[in-house]
Amino acid sequence: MAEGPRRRLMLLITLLVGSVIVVVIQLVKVQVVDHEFYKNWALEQQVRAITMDTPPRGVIRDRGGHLLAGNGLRYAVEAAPAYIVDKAGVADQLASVLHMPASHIETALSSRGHDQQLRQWVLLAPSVSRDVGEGVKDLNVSGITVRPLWERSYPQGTLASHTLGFSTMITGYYGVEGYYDVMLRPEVVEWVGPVDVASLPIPWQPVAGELPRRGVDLELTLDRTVQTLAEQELLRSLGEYGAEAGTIIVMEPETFGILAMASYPTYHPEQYVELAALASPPFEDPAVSKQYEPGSVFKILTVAAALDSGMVTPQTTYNDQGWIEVGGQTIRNATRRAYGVSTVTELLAKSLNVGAAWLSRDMGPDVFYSYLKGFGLGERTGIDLAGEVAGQLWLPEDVEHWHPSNLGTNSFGQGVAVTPLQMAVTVATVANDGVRLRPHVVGRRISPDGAVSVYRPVEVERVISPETARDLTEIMVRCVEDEVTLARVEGYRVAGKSGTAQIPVPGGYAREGTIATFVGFGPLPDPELVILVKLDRPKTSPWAANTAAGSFQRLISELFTVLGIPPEEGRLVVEVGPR
Amino acid sequence: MPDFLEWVTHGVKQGRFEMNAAATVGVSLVVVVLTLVTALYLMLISRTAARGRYIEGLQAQAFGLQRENQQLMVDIAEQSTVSGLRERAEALGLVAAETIEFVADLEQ
Repeated sequence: MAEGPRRRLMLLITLLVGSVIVVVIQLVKVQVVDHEFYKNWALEQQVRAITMDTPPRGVIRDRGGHLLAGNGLRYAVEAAPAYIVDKAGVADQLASVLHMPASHIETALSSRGHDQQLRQWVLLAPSVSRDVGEGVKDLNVSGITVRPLWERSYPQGTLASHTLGFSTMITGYYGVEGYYDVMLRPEVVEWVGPVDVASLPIPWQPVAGELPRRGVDLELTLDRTVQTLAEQELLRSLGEYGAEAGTIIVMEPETFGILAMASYPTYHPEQYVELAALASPPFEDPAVSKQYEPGSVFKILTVAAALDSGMVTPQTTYNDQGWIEVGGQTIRNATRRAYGVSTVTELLAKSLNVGAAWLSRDMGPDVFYSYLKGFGLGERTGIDLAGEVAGQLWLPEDVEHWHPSNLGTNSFGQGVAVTPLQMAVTVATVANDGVRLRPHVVGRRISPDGAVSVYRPVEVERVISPETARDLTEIMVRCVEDEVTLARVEGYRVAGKSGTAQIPVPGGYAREGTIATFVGFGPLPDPELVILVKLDRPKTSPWAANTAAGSFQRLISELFTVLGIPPEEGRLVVEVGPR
Repeated sequence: MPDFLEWVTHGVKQGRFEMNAAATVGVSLVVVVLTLVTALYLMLISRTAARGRYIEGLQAQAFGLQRENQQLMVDIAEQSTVSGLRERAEALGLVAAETIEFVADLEQ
C-alpha cells in the first residue's frame, strides 16, 4: 500500500479506536460509576404517585333511613395555560359559564411564576356547582380540566345541626361528624407507577382492581319526625314565652338512645365558613357542651338518695318551718312560706327547698354525694358526640371549693352545674327502674363491605333500687297531677318535675331572668319517652311550671300520637280484649 | 500489526463476506427466535396495557356512578324533607288531624 493511504487509514483507525475508548469510558461512568444517580433521575421523571379519585365520606341517616348528611357533587375548574393558545377566546367562553369577568380569567391564564414562565397549572374556580362544572366540561376546551369534588351536604337544612356537627372536605367537627370523624373518612389511595408526559398513568402493569373504600355509614337513633317536632316546639316556646334560647332532649328510657336533641340558636352546617368568622360561632351543642345550675329539678336526685338509702319513705313527714340552717347558711323556700308538717311526696310536689336541705343534711355528705356520683354528675355521660363537658360538682374533698353550706344548696340544684343531657340521663335512670345506661346517638354502623354493627345499650351502674324508682315515679306523678298541672296529658299518666333556677353571676345571682326546666317521662307504667325542656330567661313568667311545663305537655302529647302510643284506656282495652 | 492491517485492507478490498451453510442456518435461527420473542413480548405488553386501560375505564365509570348515586341520594333527601312533605300535603288540601282515636284490635 502506498504511504499516503496507509497513514490516512492509520489515522482513521486511531480516531475510531479513540472514540470507542471515550464512549466505553463514558458508558462505564454512566452504567457503573453513576448508576444510582441516573437510575433515580430516570425514576423521578417516569414514576409519579397519583392519588386515585377519593371515594365519598360516610353518610349519616336517622333511624328511619332518612339522609341527614350526604355528599353532593361539585367541580374544581383548572387550567394548563401552556396548552391554551387563544387565551382571550377561552376566557370569553369560560366567563359566560363561570359567571366571572373574562378579564379576570385571562389574567389568570397569562399569569407567570417566579421564574417568569407561564404557570403550569392555574386554579380558575375552586368549587362550582354541578351545572356550572358540566357546562364547562361541555365546552370541551383544550387545556381546561374539570375535576369532580365531594362537598358535604345536609339536605334537611338546619335540622339536628348541633347533633350532626359539620364537615369540611376532609375533616368533621362537632357532634357526630367530629366524634366519628376517623370512621366517616374515606380511604385515600395513591397509585405509584410510570406516567406519560401529561402525567397520566401508563398501564404497562396490571392496576389494582379494588376501588378505595368510602367511609363508614352511620345510622343514628335520632328520629327525623321527632326531631322536627322537638325543634318546632322549641321555636314555638321561645316565641310564646319570650325566651332567649333553649334546649329540648327526647330520649328512650329503655336504651338511652337519643330520639331528638334540639337547641336554639341553631345554624346551617353548610354555612360553617361564614359562621366561623362570627365572634362566637354557634357550633357548640348546648345540650352537651354548656352547663347550668339546674334548680329544683335537682330535688329528684335528693329525694332519690333519701328514699334509696332508707332514710325516708314517701310518707315520712317533717315540720317545714320555712327555713333551715345548713353549714351556717339559712335556706328558705322559694315562696318564703312555711308549709308545716309535710310528707316527702309533698316536699317534691311543692318543690320545698327547706325539705330538700333537711334530707341532704340528715343524709350527710358521704351518702348524698355518693348518690350524685352514681347518677353521673361531675363526669361526662360518655355520649358519642364531640365536645361534651362534665359539669361541675364540688365534693367535700375539694377543700378549696366545697363548704358545708353546699350540702344544703346542692340539694335543690344550686352551687352545682349540669348539662341538659346529664339532667335528662338522671331522670331516664329513674324511668329505667334505677339503672343508668350510657346515652348514645349512633344506633348502627354500616361498613363499606356491608357489615353492620349494632349498638347495644351499655349499663353503667344501678343507682337506685327498682322499688325506689317506682316510689319516686309515683311522687313525680303527683307533681304533675297536683302541682304542675300544665304538664298533664289527657288520657296518659306522666311523671315530671319543674325547676326554676336563678342565673349565677360573679358574687351571687342575677336579679332578673331564670332558667326554666321541666323534665318528665311517660306514659306510665311503661315509659317510652323522657323529655327535658330547658328555656333560658323566659319573659312571660319566670316559673318553669308556667312555661317549660307547657312545652313538655304539647310535645309529649304530639309524640304519643305520632309514635302511635295509645292512651291508658286504649292500652287497657288492648290488654283485656282478647282474654 | 502488519497482519492486522492486511486483514483490514483485505476486507476493504474484497468487499464481501463468505459464510458456510451451518453458520447461515444458525444465524437465521437466532434471528427468527429473537423476532418471535420480541413479537411475543410486544404482544404481552400491548395486551397488558389494553387491559390496564380497560380497568382504568371501569374504575372511572365506577367513580362516576358513585358520584351520581351520592348526588341522587342528596337530591331525593332534599325533595322529601318534613317541611317539603308538609307543604305538598297542604297544597293537596290535606289538614292535620285534631284528635286521634285509638281503636282496640280485639282479634289480636
